[in-house]
Amino acid sequence: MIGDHPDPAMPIEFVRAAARWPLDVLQEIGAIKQVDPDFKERLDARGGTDET
Amino acid sequence: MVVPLEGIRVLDASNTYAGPTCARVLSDLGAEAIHVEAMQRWETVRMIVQPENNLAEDYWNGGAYFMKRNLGKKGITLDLKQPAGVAAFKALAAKSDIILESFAPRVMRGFGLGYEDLRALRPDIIYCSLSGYGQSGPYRDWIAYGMGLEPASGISQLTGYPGGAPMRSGISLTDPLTGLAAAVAVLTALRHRRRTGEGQYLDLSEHEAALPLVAGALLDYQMNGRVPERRGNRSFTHAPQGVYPCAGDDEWIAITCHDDAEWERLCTATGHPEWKDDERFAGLLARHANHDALDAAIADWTRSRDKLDAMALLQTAGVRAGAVLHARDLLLNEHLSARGHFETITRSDTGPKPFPRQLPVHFSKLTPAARGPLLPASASTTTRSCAISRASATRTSPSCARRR
Repeated sequence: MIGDHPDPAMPIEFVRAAARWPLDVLQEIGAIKQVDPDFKERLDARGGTDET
Repeated sequence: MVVPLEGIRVLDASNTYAGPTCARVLSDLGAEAIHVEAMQRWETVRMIVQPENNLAEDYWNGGAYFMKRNLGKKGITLDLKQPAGVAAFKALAAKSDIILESFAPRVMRGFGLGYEDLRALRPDIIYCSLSGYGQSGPYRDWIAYGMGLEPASGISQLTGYPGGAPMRSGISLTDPLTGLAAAVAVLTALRHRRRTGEGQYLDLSEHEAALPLVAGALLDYQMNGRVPERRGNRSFTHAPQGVYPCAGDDEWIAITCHDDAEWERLCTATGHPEWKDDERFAGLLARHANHDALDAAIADWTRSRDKLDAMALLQTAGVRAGAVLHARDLLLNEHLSARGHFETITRSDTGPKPFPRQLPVHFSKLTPAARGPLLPASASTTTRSCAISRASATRTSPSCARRR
């Protein structure tokens, strides 16, 4: 048996519920301190000489 | 462009962190790496760090951890519980130079895919097993993750506060360490094969890979019979040493002074030359004896200052100081950007993002970098590249919507 990726045996609805921890839960258990609402803009504005 | 490992093929049957790190390094150096996954059992990291904490329809491809560790690799999933899956693995192994696996010792042998099995197909094969506790000894069949290996290797016993519980480091410290050790071992075995024509078996224990980190404690016991106490951020040999609060919420700077001269430079730089004449701080032993007062004095100076400004001021004066940087700071850090540390990876769902390099070495004659797909390329690409038949496949999974 050969495949391209693991079989998604579980329905996405089940996985989504298990994997997507709501932010308030993450903060309640102390896993996340904060979310920067402007994180994309901050990263877009960064300088430097990254290579692709 | 020099590509040192061009023509070398790595069959990466490892998973999660240590093994894929090794294969990623080899891939960045030019090897063709093929990531092999079980068809039925997902790698945990496929689910971690989804874009904006959400799941797309092809959510198994969304995890940034998985992407980072497997950038540039080809890929295939196999059902190794079926003879056709084992046959396909053997066909790939026969065309490969290096095998990586990170299972408990019984697993690959149980599939008939141990070193001796594959050496029969290709005598000069290099086979690297990365297991928790190695292939021999009474712990050999025990399973492990970083959380158990840090304590088992002595790191946790040294980490934490006096009188408090042992602590972990905050990251999976032993995994990338083991991955890099495996890469060194594989490169050494490749050199040996080039000189002698011989392949070999590499038995790498993640437990043992971490032991050099606690060599100081091992040697102190060996020489003096001493069992160290946890010291928090303090040091026997440096005072002051600690982290000190800076302006802002949860912002800190680490400061350490190696000797009296560095301490005096700190006194001058902070505008407190009177500390030099304070008997409480006269010499290393005095500073140790009065470390609480020392910390309070330094914290009074750091508390109102920006951590990067304080670092620059102290460094300019010749004091070893380092601002405590978190992920945002690092991604926006002018020094790392100026050195081109991050490589820009562009995904269709997230746009270009800076990813940390896997091999953080700036070579003058080559540039290690992911050269292949963002996610392990499809099974068809892999089998075609290796010139093996896909006839044994009884079923093909839905096509993988790769993000580029």
